[in-house]
Amino acid sequence: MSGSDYIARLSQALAEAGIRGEPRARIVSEFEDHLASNADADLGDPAQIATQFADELGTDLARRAALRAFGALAFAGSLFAIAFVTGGRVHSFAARGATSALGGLASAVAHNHPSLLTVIALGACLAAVQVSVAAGLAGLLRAIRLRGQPVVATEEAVMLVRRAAVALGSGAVGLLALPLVAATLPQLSGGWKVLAYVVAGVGLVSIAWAVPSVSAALRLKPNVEGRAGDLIDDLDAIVPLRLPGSPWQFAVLLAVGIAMVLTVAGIVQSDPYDGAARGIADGLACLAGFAVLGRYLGLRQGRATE
Amino acid sequence: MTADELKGHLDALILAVLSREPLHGYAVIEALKARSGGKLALPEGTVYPALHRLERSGLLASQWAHDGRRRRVYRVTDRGQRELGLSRSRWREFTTTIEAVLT
Repeated sequence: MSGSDYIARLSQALAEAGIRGEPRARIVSEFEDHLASNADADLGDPAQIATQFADELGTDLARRAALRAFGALAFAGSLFAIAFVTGGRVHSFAARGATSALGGLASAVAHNHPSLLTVIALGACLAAVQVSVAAGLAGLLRAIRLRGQPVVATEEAVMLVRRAAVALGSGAVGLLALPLVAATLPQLSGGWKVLAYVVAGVGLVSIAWAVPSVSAALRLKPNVEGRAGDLIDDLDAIVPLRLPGSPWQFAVLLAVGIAMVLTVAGIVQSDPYDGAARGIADGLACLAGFAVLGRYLGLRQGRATE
Repeated sequence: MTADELKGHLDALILAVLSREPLHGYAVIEALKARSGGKLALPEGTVYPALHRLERSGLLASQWAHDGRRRRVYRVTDRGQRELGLSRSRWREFTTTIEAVLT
């Protein structure tokens, strides 16, 4: 095969493997230079070279997507938490005990005769943010577990990118719902409403910053057989304790833990019944989320080690 | 020495070669051959994915150079130098252990 034939085949193989644009131009240029230095060089099968590039690049893109999504959400989530917690403190006539177990905004809404739209917006906000936190954390855990591996199975990469996409998408929904709550509840103070709009705007910019990395990872995935692990596989890699054998057992333990923390928070704030009610509701929501999204996000499926 | 036997060591070998001076891809392969007395016989194309991977990991940096031809020149970063030091330590420990058992 002549040098120009080799370069043509390599260029085509790279395109077929999903590597296009500047990365492909750079690879082709380096191989052209190599053949210009030694026309008889043994460069290997172009298809295999292209596959190796694609598998390694796809693995790296998937891992980066999960890490960048988590970084963006950590920043947006911090702003959201400030807005949410202060929501019950600065509204115009905050009821006594408004900042109870679940935090400010929920109590402010509950104590101010909200419209149906406000309740729906708050519900969507709470649900979306919790899904976002769970998916973002799960993506981070998997990225940590797979760190240092030059190539991962397609299923692992798909799950990394899926977790990042769900985390960003639900995070955006949560942020969009925040100004809707602010706009539909007149009793909230003007100052807090401005805060809600600013938090939503800045948070969405942060999420937009992470979207291109997810988009790039969706376009180029490694093409390697193998099973993706589940939540216990992810946790085993970083938690030195002995974990429950099945993801469902872990989910139940987590739900009980959430319920207990919120109940204790209610007791500390002299509102144990409110705390217990919110704790049970949040624990059940956690289990419901696990049932609905657990398989899709790869939290509960066959163990990678089996 | 075949590509299979080199698995797991190629990254460290590339870092070692580039720790002396920045080189382009072809020169890296030539240096690997020269320093191994011609015993490292791997498909030359497999070095390029490794160079790109090491660059993505922050162990190498690269830029285009124009010395008659447009070439991508790689150099080891500070992080790469530290990783090379660790690789050398791990290798010495490994060979010492195996040698103690074999001899």
